[in-house]
Amino acid sequence: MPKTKILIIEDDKFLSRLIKDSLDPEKFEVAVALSADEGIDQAIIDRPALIVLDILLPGKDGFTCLREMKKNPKIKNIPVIILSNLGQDEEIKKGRALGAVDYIIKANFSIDRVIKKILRQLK
Amino acid sequence: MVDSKKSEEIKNDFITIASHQLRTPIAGIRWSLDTLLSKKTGVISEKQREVIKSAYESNNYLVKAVNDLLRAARLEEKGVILAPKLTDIGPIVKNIVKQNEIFARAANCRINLKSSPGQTKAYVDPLQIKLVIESLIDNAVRYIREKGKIEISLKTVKDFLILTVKDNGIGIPLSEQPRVFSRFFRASNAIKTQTEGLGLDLYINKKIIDASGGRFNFTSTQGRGTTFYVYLPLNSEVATKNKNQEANLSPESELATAKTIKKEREFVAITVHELKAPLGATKWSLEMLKSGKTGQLSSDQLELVDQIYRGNERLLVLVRDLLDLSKLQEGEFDVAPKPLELKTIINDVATAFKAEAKRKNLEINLPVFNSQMPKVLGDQNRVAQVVTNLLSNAVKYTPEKGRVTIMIKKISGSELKNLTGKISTAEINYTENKKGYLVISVQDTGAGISAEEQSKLFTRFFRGKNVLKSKTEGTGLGLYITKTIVNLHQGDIWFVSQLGKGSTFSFSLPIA
Repeated sequence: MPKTKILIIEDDKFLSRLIKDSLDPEKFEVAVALSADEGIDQAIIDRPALIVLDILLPGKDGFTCLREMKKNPKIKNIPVIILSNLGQDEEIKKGRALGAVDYIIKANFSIDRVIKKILRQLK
Repeated sequence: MVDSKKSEEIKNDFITIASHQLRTPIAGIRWSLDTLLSKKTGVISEKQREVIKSAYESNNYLVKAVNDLLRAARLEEKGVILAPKLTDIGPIVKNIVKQNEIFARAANCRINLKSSPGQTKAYVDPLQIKLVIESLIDNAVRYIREKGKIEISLKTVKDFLILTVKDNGIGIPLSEQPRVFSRFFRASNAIKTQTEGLGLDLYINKKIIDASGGRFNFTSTQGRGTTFYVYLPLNSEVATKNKNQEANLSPESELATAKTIKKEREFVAITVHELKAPLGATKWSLEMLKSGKTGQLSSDQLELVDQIYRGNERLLVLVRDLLDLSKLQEGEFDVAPKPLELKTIINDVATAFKAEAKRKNLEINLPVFNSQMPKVLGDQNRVAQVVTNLLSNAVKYTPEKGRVTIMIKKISGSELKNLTGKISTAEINYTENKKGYLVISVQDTGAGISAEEQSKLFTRFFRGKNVLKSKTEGTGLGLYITKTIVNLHQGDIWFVSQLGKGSTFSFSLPIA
């Protein structure tokens, strides 16, 4: 069976590694992009089944990145989970309005629950 | 400007930045502890598990404290912003009860959800009401005694859907009941059972329910239990009617705003103080793990523990800086200058950086102290804080094999005055001391500071545009606090820097 592709757009390499290490390597192929532009390019090439997106990124922020992805017909249907430490109501509402399927505040969830939320979107 | 659009996307206010700065290391710590416990990086001994678990609990509490603090701060700044709609409360309550059952069983208590005939819809903001119900049930479980019983029911009476959460826990002492909904309220008997807690839940809940056009009250008997009643409006007409009544009772005024600002500062001080305890606890747990006293760690495990340790240190620095900042704003920052010898202070501070300097192969040069060096007027701890901050920056930003030099020079007031204009960053205000000044300088061979950045170096962190983006450790508050401390000593601080060559930070202190 081909592996499910997941793209993580996150500039904190340590955190993305922890997520990557928690996903079964037999089932998933995880790519990491360090910036919004790199993430969009990667998404167009890879067409992952799911994108995990941070908000505070070097250069373009995650909201802008999400807006651009939703405008691009090639990738606009890929579900995006926002994974950030910004989490005031306004930000959550904004993320949802831009089309994110879930908004996870990093510090509020154990890594197991983050993984569960990722898997739920892939079902 | 290119940047202006970006800053509209993400707010650059204090709460946003504080939340991000606090949560980032907390998330790193949490996930690393998860990974350690999952044994993916190797087996752990029973003792190690215990220590990791206790660090985990501290971290959990920290998450809750930070979230409560931020929610309350946001409420005070902006009031409650709600997006109400007709919401079925029944399934929400059911779900939360389900989530809490394991936790309750562990505490040997039972949650009984009375099935409610009839409708269970109300006109509220589902997101906010969910948080209210969660915190009520969580609190009921937390303060229950052995074999406790929690009864939850929903019923519609006239214009309201009433949620009742009844426990047979420790209750609230009668004399303390009037203060239940005020900030940081914690009942005296609650503090004894549960040492952790900010006392913000009920305060936040009340604000949200009031703003929803509902009502929130309770009955309680010490030693017998407490029952909370949440009245939620059935439709938008009821909600509006009740909210208006509320508004008439408490008209907003400018005076009230000023009071709120003052309160907010105290508020930061108290909460930030609360954050220190779990951080200290985690630090000790980690040191235990690192020392190997609880058993050997694999290299993967050790890497995680080191990562957690660094995250924790970062939080400690942040919390300390935030506390200093709030004290400065309150004018409660203690500076008690006395005649002081700089030799011990500088030697002590430098010693603390020896290990880090060795790791980076840096040379630290200290000034030669002789008996002619006069004493200065300074507060020992605060002067040490200033030197620590400057030295820590120098060590952090100087690449390997670089050099950090501390120098001391005696200078007269009029010579100091001449620096204004000569050095672009020097704005000398204090030159009146007849005996003159000592100037302490910390010179490094680091990256230097660009001309553009030089002008805003001493401003508070939330003024800077790139704070949210920068990944370097530290809060960006350090130099602002340092400058304020130096000024409180009737001294000045300035620097010269050249991109690629290095920087020299200098500050003056009056001679005793």
